[in-house]
Amino acid sequence: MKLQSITKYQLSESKKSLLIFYGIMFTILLLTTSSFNLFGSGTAEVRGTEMASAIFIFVIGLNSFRSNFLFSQANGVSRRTQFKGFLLSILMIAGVMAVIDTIYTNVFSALVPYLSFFSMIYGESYLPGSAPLSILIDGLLWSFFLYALFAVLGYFINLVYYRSNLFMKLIVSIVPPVFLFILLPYLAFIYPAISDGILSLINLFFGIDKTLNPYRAMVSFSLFTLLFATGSYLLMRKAPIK
Amino acid sequence: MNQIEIKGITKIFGETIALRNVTIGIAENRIYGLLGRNGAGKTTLLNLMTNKLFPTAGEILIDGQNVQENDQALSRVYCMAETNLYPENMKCRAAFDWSREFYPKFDRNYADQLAILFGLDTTKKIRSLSTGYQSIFKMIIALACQAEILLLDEPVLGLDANHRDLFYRELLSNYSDNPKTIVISTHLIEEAADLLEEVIILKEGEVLLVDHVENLLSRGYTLSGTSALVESYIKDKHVLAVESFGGLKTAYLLDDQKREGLQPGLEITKLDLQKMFIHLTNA
Repeated sequence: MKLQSITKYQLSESKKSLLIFYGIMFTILLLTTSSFNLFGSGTAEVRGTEMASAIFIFVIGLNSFRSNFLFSQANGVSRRTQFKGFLLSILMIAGVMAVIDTIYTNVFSALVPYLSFFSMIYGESYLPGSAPLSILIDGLLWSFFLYALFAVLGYFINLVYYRSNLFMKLIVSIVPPVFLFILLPYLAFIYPAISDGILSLINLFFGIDKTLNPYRAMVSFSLFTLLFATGSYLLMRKAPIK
Repeated sequence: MNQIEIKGITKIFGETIALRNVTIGIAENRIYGLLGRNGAGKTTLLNLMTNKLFPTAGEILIDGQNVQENDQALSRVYCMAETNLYPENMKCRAAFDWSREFYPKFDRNYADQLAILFGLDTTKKIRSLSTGYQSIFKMIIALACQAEILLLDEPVLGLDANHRDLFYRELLSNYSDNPKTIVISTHLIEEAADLLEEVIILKEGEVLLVDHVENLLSRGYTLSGTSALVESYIKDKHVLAVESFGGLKTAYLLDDQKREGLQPGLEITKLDLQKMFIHLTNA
């Protein structure tokens, strides 16, 4: 009973943001289509709007803990139930967004020169004779798993901050960016083997090493979603109110 | 049998021991006053009872069920917290609607009636409410949710005298219509004294006293007279405090001994709960 209520609540909390986000996306679609019709597209092309959705759901994940946690505590909901509610609601949102985006990108590509993120990466793996439905379903599933991963990653990051004291917050804020954007590129520059290794890992993760395999990417997304979800649960199961 | 069993609860925050081996039994359908000076551990205890915090040691049971991560046990309790746990941009009426979702017995009509009675504009967002009206908003949810156990942490914070009086009357009326277990943590002891049936006094994280209010009041008294007479009388008694004014002395006592055979020159008066609390926690 409480699981249903908290899931409903967490869904309602994201409803307004979703409407605003898609309002903006459809406005962009209309403006782009109109401008292409009026002035012609020339060599211009629109690409990969799914990344905007991935970033949006990441922000939803980032904002899904503290306020919902306090509200759950006010209403006698256990942490475990709140966490299950978050997972259910975010998977539903990811599913709805994947469906909307699939429809959106197909409508968009019929109106203007458009290439989805999925087509950009895996387009070549589908032969010209492939059933359009299989591309559509693969693209939808790929987007769904990607969005789920981004949402859970946002939730996990927020929980790390929530559970950290000031010193740990500083460490968490400084160490990963310094490592990722300064130390790692520097090491990769000095030792090209590192750069090759990272590239291989990315290719393996996205299923783009020898062949183009979107299913491997879906498995990678799911595994990392599971990893961050487990991490989130471990962080929140003893979380005190602050 | 007690409805709530608090067994050997210790809570440590860093180097601060907020509660030390607290063991209390709370009986069903009684009104308890949870009293203590600032920092005594009252809010920590209420937060532990609703699993907002985890104890360092010990356990809290509601009808034999541990409250930790237990939706069933937690849904029987509503805790009106001192701080606001609701989203600040939520409107009061939306909070009422959501409360019905989590507490199915939530009486929406009663909540609306209380809002009118206390002058709460339910179309307002929670963040725009003053401290007093935030207390009123939370108190309305507490009264209307019909939970079996109500924990009220400083329920009259920021309320004016009229609203406080109205609140005490509504709480009593609510209790007589639907008996429930109520624990009120408050510093306004004098005002709440008439409501309370039982009292729990915490001092520096430990239980100082658990007793029926009637029993406690019957044991407490003030003795006044000349210094010599008062000194002689209080020799073998439980003295809470002694005050001197020139050659006169006033002693605050808590004991079961009979007061007959009082020497002329000594006067006994009743000790109210607030005075008793002050002397007990100062001692």
